[in-house]
Amino acid sequence: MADNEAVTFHCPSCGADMKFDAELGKMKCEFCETIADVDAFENDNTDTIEEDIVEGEFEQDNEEILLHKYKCSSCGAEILADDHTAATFCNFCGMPAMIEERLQGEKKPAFVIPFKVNKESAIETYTAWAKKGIMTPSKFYAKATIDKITGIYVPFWLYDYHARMYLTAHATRTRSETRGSYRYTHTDHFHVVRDIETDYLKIPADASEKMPDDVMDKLEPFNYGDLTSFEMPYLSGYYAEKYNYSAEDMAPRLEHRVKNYINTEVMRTIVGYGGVQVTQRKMNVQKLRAKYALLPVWILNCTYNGKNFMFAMNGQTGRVVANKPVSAKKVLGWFSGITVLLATVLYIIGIFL
Amino acid sequence: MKISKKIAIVLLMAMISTLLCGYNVRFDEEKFRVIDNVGYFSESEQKELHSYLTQKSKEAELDLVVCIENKSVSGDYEDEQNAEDIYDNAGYGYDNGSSGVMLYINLDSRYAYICTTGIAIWYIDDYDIEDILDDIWDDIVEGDYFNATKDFADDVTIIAEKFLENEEDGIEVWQEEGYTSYEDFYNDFVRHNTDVDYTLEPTAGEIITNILKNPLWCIVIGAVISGIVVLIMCMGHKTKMKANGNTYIDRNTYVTNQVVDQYLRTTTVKTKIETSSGGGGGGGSFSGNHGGGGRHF
Repeated sequence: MADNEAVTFHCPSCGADMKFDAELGKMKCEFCETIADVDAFENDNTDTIEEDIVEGEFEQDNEEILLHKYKCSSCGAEILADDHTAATFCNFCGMPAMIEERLQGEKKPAFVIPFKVNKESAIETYTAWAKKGIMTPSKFYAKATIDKITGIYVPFWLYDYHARMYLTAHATRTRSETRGSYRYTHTDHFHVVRDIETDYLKIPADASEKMPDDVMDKLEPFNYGDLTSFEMPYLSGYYAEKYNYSAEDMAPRLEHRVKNYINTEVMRTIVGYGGVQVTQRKMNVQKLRAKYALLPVWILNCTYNGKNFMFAMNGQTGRVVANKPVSAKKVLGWFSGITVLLATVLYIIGIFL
Repeated sequence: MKISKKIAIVLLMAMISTLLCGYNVRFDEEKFRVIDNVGYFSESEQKELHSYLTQKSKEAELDLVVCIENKSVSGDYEDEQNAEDIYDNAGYGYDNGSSGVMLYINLDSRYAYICTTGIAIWYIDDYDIEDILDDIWDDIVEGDYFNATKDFADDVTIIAEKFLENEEDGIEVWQEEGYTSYEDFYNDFVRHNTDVDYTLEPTAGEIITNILKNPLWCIVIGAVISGIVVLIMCMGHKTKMKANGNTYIDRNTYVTNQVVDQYLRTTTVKTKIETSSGGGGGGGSFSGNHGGGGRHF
């Protein structure tokens, strides 16, 4: 048993729970519709709930996971959360609950981008996306599936990097002329040198073990104009994770990314040549700082034929990242239909030829 | 030696002799060269035409045949196919091969067609066919197929003899077609069931028509196109990375320390411009083992 605290926000007017409203960008009471600024809730109108630790209760991928048990301050029901959950809901009464100890000290995010796309818009986008895929199994736009869509604040590290690249290359430019019955091809040879340095700011890298890196990368870019100092009320009404990977853990992946960026940037400056052969390339990338931030993502997981498919939507810009599953039945249906149609049309054309 | 063995040897020799003799037979003179499926010609006319065509076949060294049909068809292609089938099924052909020319007249579709086979494809090109049709056209239009057949046989013989004379004079026409030996040329144009490709390619239109007439090909083409369409429909579901270096670059800190584009030297390569020389060849347009041309009257 360990004593930790989870936080919920209550309406100053009626005492009901308050959630962050993505459209308004403020806290809103779902019961009496009282609206209040996020700032007004920091350290005020909060309840704490007690925690128990239940070890080895569930198994996932043959590994025991540690579950923490909290008591809901609203209904008294138990709330179970794993090691990395920072914000969740009571499964019984639906009251938002934040685990404050996972949002404090070094685990406290420096920044947050609040949700701008609300659940209704996310559902609308998802439904349109699913129906657009004519090969998508109908299960994917069933109401039961759509209702599973969840708003999550995903932990990201925002890295600042300094990159420098020195490059030498042999470049050629070709021109030709015709004299009599001969063609003369002239090739001009050049020695090319580039030495460029620059900073790259706030490159995001998701620090959650649960989120696939490629999906999170494709959700970019986020609009950093909305990046704001972290305050816990932004999490009310959404799930949130704390980071699994430290900034140092993620650094190699980021360094690789920055090296690609600076290389592309330098190569972009070598123009006007027909051929470029790099003879020397020196790169130096240096991590300046990494800040912990929570970024908004709408997630929907659906299993089809034993395989998990994830729909992810940038909770700020609405950008959708998802690979639609393909229904074998629909593929066969379309293939047969088109084949029969085309074969018939071709044969009829053949008769009249 | 037992009597039975002697008999067996004699029979074997007789069979070999028959085969050898058969090989030497230039063509079957008795095979009737008038196919009148509508009873247009009288019996005497048929006999006279057969004799005439047989005589001309010997001179032209091509089997000359006439066919009168009255068959409902969906297009010229079907008429042409029908003419080729009649020729092939009857087993016409000069010199143990298939070489020959048939005048095919369908009274239902009012289509006259000259079908060439084997070396006749090469002897009688599209222009010759037009000339022959021009020559017999008045008779065809007036329904005088007897005279039309005789004129047709005369014209084909004249054209074929030119080639035969030239060959005898030592003008080896097959060389113009790019063959290194007469045997290869002969095998391509005369022999039945040869696997050697013809040097004259069928036109794109003929290939397309042939393909579209075959329902199996239509299904295959439909399946291939359908497969590509369905594949594109499935592939369209992937999302690509949108952010790149420009998304995160801080232009305020961008420093260009060194930019060098130093000219070193120029190298020159001199190449002779090849001029293409054109060439020509004879022969009529054809597909499969037959050639030909026709028109409506």
